[in-house]
Amino acid sequence: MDRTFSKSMVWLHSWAGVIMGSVLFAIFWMGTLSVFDAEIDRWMMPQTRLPAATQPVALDNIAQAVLPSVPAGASQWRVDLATPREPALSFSYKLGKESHAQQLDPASMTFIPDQGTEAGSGFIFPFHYSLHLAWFDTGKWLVGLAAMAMLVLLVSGVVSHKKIIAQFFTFRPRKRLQRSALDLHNLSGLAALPFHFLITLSGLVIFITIYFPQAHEAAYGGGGEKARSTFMAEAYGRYKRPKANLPGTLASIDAMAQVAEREWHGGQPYFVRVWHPGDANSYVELRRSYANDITMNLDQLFFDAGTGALLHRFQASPVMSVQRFMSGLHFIRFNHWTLRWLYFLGGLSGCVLIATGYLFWLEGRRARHAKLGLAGVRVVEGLAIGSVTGIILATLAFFTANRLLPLDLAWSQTGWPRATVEMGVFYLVWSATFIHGWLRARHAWRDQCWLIAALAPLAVTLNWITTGDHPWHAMVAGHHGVLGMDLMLLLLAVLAATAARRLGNLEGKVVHA
Amino acid sequence: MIASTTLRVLGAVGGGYAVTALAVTTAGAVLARLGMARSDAVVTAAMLGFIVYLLLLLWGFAVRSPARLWLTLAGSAALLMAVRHLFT
Amino acid sequence: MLEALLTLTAAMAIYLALALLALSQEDHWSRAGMPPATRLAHRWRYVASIVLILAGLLCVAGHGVGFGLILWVMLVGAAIVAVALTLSWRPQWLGGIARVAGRLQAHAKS
Repeated sequence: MDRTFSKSMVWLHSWAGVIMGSVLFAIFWMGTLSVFDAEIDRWMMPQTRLPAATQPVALDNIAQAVLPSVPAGASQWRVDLATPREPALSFSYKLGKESHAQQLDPASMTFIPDQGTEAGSGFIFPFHYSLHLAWFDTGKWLVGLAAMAMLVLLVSGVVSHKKIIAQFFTFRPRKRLQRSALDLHNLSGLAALPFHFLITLSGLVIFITIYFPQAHEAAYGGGGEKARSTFMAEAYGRYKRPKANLPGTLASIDAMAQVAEREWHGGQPYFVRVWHPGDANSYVELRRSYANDITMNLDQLFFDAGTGALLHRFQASPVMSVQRFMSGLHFIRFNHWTLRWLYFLGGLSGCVLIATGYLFWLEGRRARHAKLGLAGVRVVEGLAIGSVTGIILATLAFFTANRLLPLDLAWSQTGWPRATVEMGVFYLVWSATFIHGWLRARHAWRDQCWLIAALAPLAVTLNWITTGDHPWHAMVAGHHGVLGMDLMLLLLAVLAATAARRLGNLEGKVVHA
Repeated sequence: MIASTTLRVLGAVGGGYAVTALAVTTAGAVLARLGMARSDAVVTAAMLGFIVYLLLLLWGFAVRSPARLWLTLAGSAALLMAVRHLFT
Repeated sequence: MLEALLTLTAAMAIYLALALLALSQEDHWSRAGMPPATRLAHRWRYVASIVLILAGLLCVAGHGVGFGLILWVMLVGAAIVAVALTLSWRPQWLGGIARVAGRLQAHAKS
């Protein structure tokens, strides 16, 4: 942009940061929370706080328990098996275009009442990759654009950093906000640079078929549905066979699982899906668990439902395994607590990176824009406040609403499901934080930090009141996810209060100076 | 200045994406013709596509003028379309 | 249990290595409360690198190649932040490492 490569990279870094920072913070914040989406689910759906299974559940028992609920004419039903972090069974079926889902307690094989919430896995996680903007996949495309911007920001950031080696470990918290913010920005960027780069690239790689929708066209002889489905079948595996429109039976799924265990050298299925239930041509699909590898395998087996005969097997090619390894680096579906917590810290460092970037940009231009009467700082400040402290507040409001809204059916009278009201609270509060940011300008940072410091412990208290699971009780009862969530909320409150006081002191300094 | 920047942004972000997508599908066809399984070729090309786009974006904002950017993009697109035609 | 021990040892070794890297810079050496004249020579950066690689081997030994390498990269990142925060808020804590390293260097010279 300017005369030298270095200068153009500085220009690019600032502009890309200011424009895409909002979306990027939302992605990183929701992504960081998604590391513990199963734990957030436990917190928000108290009736799923079940003890870990002491022994594996027989698949035939599961089938027996759910089959009465599968309506005639359903095209498929499936059960996702329990894992250490997700103790309830997830049952769902598809009838025409509609799908219906419910959870089961594996110990009693009874259905758990509808919890009336999208919780972590239904709201927070999809927000991360789609921003809940489903119209023509706009959200996913925006996330993709943000991801490319992130890669550009990382490279341009490194190139722009003149004294990288000398300042590698430098963080001077007691200096002016602009200096401290830049130090922290550089530190959080550099320390976790491999993480930031790989998490962004791997996120993009997950969605290759969305971001390069025509990638297969030249190799597969053109566009159209046939070419696409051939490509998808060859890459990801697919097996289909049509209904016979004659009645059929369901053989022992446990027997099929035993065949699977042999085929997979000890691997276990993570879900069971029955296609064309009740039909003579019904078939059973098993896929191998992700728990023990980074790579999200594509191992799948299809069995004839009536006889249990193995119909089809598939596994990822070596090249596809690279895509699945990258995907696995991002999804982290594996069982590894140390790594999971480190990913959480990595995600938080990404949030700090973006937030400090905004603070540095704002502080660096505040005086000049005020003097020249420019609107830039005013506009960006409101945007940044809503995007950073605002989305955190909105999330806390989401958690609080979850504990305050009753489960009972009175809500159906409003025409809105309980889950929709919860999400409505999130968006309402989030919108308000932007308005607050634009009205109160730089004071809003501190205001919202104090609000976070107040709302987070309130959420913990509400959990205690409504479920009886205060931290000590949660620990004793083995509800570790709930304990973790409460502790993280309290830690958030402490950090927010510290930030609020620090920002208050700075403002005090400005006044006296 | 604003016009120049707008042209550059459109070129790098929009034009860069178009050229990358074209490169991905072309590379997929080339790799498949060279012996890779078709689905592998497409997936390899798509994964590398993000790196290509990143490089195009960085270059797009560093190159001396928007005119040079657009000319190079157009030239690349033409070249890629020719190669794609040869390999399909 | 063994895995946890290997991980903990690796984490401490990585912190030590990065602390040495930081201390090999004059600015941070004085922050840790050490007289500038006794500062660490650049060859301490080789020591730090070797310790980092050994820690990587520990990670792989405990967790396998895939998990081990990812864990190693993440632990290095966490340690960079930890060392930076130590230097910001409790630089004297690195004084211990600084003194031992300084003494070893003095012995090697004599």
